[in-house]
Amino acid sequence: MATHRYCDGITRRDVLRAGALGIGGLSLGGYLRLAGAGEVQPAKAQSAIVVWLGGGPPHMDTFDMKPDAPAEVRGEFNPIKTNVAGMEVCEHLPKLATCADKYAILRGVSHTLAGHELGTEYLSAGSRPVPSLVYPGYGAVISKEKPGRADLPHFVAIPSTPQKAGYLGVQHAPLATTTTPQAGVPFSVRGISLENGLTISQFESREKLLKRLDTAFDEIKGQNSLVDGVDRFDQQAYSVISSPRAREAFDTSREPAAVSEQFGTHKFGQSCLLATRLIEAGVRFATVTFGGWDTHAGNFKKCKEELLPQLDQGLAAMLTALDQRGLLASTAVFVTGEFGRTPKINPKAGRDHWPRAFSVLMAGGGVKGGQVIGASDDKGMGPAGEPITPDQVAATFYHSLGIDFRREYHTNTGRPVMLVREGSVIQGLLG
Amino acid sequence: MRTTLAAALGLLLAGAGFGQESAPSAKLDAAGLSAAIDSQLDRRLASEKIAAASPADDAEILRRLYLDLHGQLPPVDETRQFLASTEPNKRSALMERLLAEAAYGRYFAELYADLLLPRTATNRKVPIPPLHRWLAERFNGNQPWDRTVRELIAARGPQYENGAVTIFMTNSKSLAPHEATDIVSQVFLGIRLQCAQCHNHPFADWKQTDYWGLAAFFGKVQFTSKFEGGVGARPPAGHKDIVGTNYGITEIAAPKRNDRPERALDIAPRFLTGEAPAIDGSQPPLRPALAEWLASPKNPWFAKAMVNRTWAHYFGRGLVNPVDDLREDNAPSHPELLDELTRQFILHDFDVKYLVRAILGSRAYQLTSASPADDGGDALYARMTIKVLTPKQTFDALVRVLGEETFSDSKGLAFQRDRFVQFFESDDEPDPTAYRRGIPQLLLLMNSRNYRLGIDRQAEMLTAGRGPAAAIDELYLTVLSRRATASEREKMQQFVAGYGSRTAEAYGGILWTLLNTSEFALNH
Repeated sequence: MATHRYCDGITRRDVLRAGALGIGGLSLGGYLRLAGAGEVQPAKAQSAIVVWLGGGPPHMDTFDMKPDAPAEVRGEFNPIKTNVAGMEVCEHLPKLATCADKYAILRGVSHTLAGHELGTEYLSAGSRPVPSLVYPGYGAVISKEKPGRADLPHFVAIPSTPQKAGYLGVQHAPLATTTTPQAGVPFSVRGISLENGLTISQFESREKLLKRLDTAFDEIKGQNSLVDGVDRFDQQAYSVISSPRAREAFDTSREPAAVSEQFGTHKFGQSCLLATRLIEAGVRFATVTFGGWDTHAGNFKKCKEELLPQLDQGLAAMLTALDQRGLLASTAVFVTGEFGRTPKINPKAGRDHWPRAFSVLMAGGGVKGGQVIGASDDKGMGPAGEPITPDQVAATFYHSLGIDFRREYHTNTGRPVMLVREGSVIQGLLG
Repeated sequence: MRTTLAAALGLLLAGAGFGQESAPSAKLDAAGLSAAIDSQLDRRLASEKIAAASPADDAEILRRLYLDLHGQLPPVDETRQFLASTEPNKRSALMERLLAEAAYGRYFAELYADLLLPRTATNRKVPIPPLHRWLAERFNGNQPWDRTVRELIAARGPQYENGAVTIFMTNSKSLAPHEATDIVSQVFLGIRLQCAQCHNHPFADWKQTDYWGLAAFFGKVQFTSKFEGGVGARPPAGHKDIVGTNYGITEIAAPKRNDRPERALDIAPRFLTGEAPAIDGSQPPLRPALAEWLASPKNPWFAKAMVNRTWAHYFGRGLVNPVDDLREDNAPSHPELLDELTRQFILHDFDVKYLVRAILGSRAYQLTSASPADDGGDALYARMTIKVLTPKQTFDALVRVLGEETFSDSKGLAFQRDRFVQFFESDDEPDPTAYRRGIPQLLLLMNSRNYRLGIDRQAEMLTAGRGPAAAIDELYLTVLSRRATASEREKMQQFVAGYGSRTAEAYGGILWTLLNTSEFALNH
């Protein structure tokens, strides 16, 4: 809730330590870095894509099959082998089975928030939600930490995203396309393209006039830092509008039909195609939201006929295309929902919310593909051994991008907050 | 004459050092308090050797008063009239008129409704107009603040009869006691208590028992559709805000046990000052006792919190910052001034308009924001702080300039306004002096189809039948509420000349440009 401030989960111990270190002039972030919690290495990833499976995909029917479990848990699907020995996925993910060397599966990822809203907040930021603060989503952090070209938006959501700018401020909010591209149809996003017949030259003449005028206001208002700030942001927006690069990147119809078909004509596939194009053009962060995974009833029918085939085609095509274009090594890909689904099948052939054990996919950007890290127990109920936390996943994701996940920000009330306080890099995931 | 006297009185009081409790100051009228404000601020500026900026000109004051009191730009006819007027007291006359108009209450009603009922998924179905209307009536009638707050805290009954109950409602149940505690302490007392929900407060003296003692007052609040005295479940036919079942708030005998966070403490109602209420805690209602304690002149936070919040509204920063963080180690920038304002507010029986008149009548409020001082001078009120238009102000300003038809569609203007506001509003706490627009927001403003059409249409309408100089002037008056300077007029005329006979296009370009200036985005 927006009115709630301050008590952002920082423990008194942290505060104390920060205070004590303050005397010596060493910041808490710096201290922790020196303490060796996770030294920052040169980043392999320069950009990132998050695929958001909204509603919570069933881990037992996708990337964590339990063929030996009792029937009321096992479900209707069988595992199939992938192109990596010993790594298996659901039979309705055949295309992903042929490119398992490109991604890693994290199993036994675990938390305790079984409601959509809180689970989504957690997995969209990597910090457990607290009432006092809104944590920034991955895209907002990347927009702040790794701003890309001035003539491109830094954080694009296709068609929208639950990730928020939070305490980083609305400057780092996503540009939502609000619609998804359709195969072969020219796609333009409101705001990006000049509309209603305004030409570039008209736009430029207005921009020029504005520049001359606003300088006058600067003089009137003295050396006011606020006025400067306003102008700086405006400048960036003009660059986006007036450069052809952004318009072309958004227009998926420029892609050859053969490529477009690989992704599928469904919304998810075309959204993955758009994300790929955006990254190729230099956008730092794109996220694709694919909802409909909240399968309380008819889980198997929906998964088999709709959800899994689309996920399979879109995601496999995206990983392959990124690889073919030489972008996979520099693009961190992260696929997750807010939680998994109950191992025990309910009377409506559905599965309910289950945050105690679920699966996450990571690829590209230095992730060593073709491996499974972590495990759930024999019925997929909980993690077998040490759980992987969303904080660790987020920390590793940031780490692969060269972003110090222990970096400290200040909220506008001056409160220090660590990016992912409970994070640590998952051993063995990055190559 | 009166002003001179009041100024003298202010100086006298300042000299006497009215921070001391032993020498309570006399009751000052609004002009007297304005003078006291200035003498306090001036004394500090003198000691820091900072020169105050010059007074704002009429155009600056007109736009500032409209935005601060109505959240809206002045209508262009009014701008023209005000700038031309030679009445010596036209500023105070304008202030009085704006305070007397219904738009004043509506504007503050919305501001307070947003504080009291931040919209979330869990309350998005609650009808909000009853609360807006209820608050607007209080602000417009200038009901004393203590009474308004008492009515809010103890509110019960069906929503259509008593809009105040809205603050305790969510989609399907009553606000949880701890959430009510957070809101009430933060908005009315300027205390951020929520840390003490789970542990003793790390930076202030609040204990977890303080928190749950206060929360206990809200433990019997109940969401209901059944009311005493046979009030029907449905509002009277034709009630426009509430369709179907009418809900409201009552109190029940047994405190609720659900909806409690893990770390909840089960303790009896207790005020933050430590005393227990003199009521039989076993029976409802509990809230009237809380309301009495909270909105009392003896409450050390209540009046001060309102004074500080009101000050911050006009000056862009509180005497204590953040505005809702009154505590011992968060010192005010001008402690004696805060004390004096608080004392006078209490002496005037929590008269909100009195407080507003005193603030707006001060010389400090009427300084220009244009001054060579660096930003540091803002905190000492050496010049007017520049505030950024809020998303709601921006939308309403755009509607005023471009006309409703630019924004309204089949879903209506209110719907479009909500959507616009959501798009611009961040989840973070609003800082009135931070520019919070990103690329997506700017792209919408600069480059969306509706705006473009509206801009072209409106530019044509505003400039029809006017020569270039008059047309440019009209555009400036409409968008920036001032006349163009000579150098601006020259630049604009060059621009128009560059378009040859395509003057409509040129004026569209000018209107677009003015809407995209930083000046338009700011309350300066």
